[in-house]
Amino acid sequence: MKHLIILGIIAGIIMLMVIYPHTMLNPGELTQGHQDLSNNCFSCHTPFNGIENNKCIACHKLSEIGLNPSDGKDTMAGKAKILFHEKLSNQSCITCHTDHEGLEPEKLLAGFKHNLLSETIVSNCVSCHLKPADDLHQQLNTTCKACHNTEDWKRTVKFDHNMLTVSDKNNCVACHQKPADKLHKPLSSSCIDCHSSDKWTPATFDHDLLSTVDKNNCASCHENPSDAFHRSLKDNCSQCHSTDKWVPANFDHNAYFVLDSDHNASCNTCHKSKSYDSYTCYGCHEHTESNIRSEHIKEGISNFTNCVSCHRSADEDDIQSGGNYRKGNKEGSRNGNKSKKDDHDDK
Amino acid sequence: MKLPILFKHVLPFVIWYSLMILVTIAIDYLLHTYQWVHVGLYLGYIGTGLIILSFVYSLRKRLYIKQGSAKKYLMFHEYMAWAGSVMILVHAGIHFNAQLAWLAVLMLLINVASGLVGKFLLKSAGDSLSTSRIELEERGISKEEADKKLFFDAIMVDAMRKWRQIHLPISLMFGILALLHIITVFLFKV
Repeated sequence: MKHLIILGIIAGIIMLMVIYPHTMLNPGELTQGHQDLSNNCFSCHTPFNGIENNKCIACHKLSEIGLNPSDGKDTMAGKAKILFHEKLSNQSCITCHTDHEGLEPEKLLAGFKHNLLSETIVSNCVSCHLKPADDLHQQLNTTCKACHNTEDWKRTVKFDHNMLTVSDKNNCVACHQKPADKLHKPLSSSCIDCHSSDKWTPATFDHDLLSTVDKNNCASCHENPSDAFHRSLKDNCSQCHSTDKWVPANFDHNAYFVLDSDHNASCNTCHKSKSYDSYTCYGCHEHTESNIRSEHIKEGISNFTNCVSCHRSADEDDIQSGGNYRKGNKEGSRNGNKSKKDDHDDK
Repeated sequence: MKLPILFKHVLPFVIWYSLMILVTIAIDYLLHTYQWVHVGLYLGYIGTGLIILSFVYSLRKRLYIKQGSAKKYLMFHEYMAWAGSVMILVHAGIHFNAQLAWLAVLMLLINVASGLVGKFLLKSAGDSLSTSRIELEERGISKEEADKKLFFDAIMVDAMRKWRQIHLPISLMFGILALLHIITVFLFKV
């Protein structure tokens, strides 16, 4: 009894396969033109022997492939598509054509490889492909092979700008869009002043290309460094930095205080807080508040809070007052005049 | 506290079955990621081979082979069939086309489930039921009272036993459907 049930099930399944082959066996919908063959597998398949060319050619005559069925005209506008297929008559049709769509209908012609074609056809791309109508391709007279290969039209492009005429080569915006960022927007110079045609980056930017207004407005392109020192500054960057390189900067400490051999100390010896606006001369053992006070009071100097207003040169005998140096004249410091740059200690 | 059979023995069953599905998804994902989808075709051959190889246990069970421990043959059957099933499932992928192949996959899934019932549930559940019955009787509970207390466990074990019995017929169905699938692949080869 068990055997009969099993045999019955097998017979039932085989019957379903025969009656509904499309549902039971079809590996994917047939292409639109072959939909009426959905349940007639053997119209294309020869049992255990694949798909023979003569079954395809029985309907698709080589001399008619590529002709529009409605008007009989060449679908490739006079191109040699018919010749293309006739030259392939020694190939199996299914080498290129897969009529069951399956999961990836866009890959129905995935089997096609250009090496199936003769060298004559491969060299004459426009016998099958239309030349792109865009500005770039229209100005080129070179062969497609100069930039493209048959593996992939887009991904393997080897474009050489030298193929362009000089005027086209220098007119970058004819093909490329000008970057819309704040650096490129104000520029009116030619791209090749900074970029080469081989690579977009690295570029060799020359600040002289900028107008004087833009050139002096560093912050319109560069961000102000966020460290305490730079945050305390409001002057133009060019006071310390050049447009060639950010570092080394030409900040001149001597303009504020000379760091001679006795004062060759680390920054935080004098600048205790993180701001470079303020300083102290009592950060080392040499100067203490009490001995400085007694020494200055002894000489009748009461205003000695801003040391560098008088001792900018770091030489205790070189007394400066109001920006004027007066060697050996300690009297001058009593006036308490300070240069503009020394104002910061009086805050 | 003694847990009901359903909870006590179902977990390893669920883990092994889920593992089969997860491993399948992981392999399928890797094949698609690294553009090795065509390998799925060959996994069909290898999976079929492993499943056929696992049937050496049936030869030992029916004494066509007399050497070796039957238990080891059973373990060989279990692991080979599980691995083969993973490969067949990767081979099948999630392609909703030919329904003959899908029927074969459905039979495979049912069959693995019935096989895992035999491996993880039936014996231990039967042992648990016997132990519980002995314990109840030792506590002086009458046989009728014990039957009442163990009613649902007994039904569960009985259901498992019947479910286990379909393992071979479903295997046969899977084999036939797989064979028809292979024949039609060669019949309609391109």
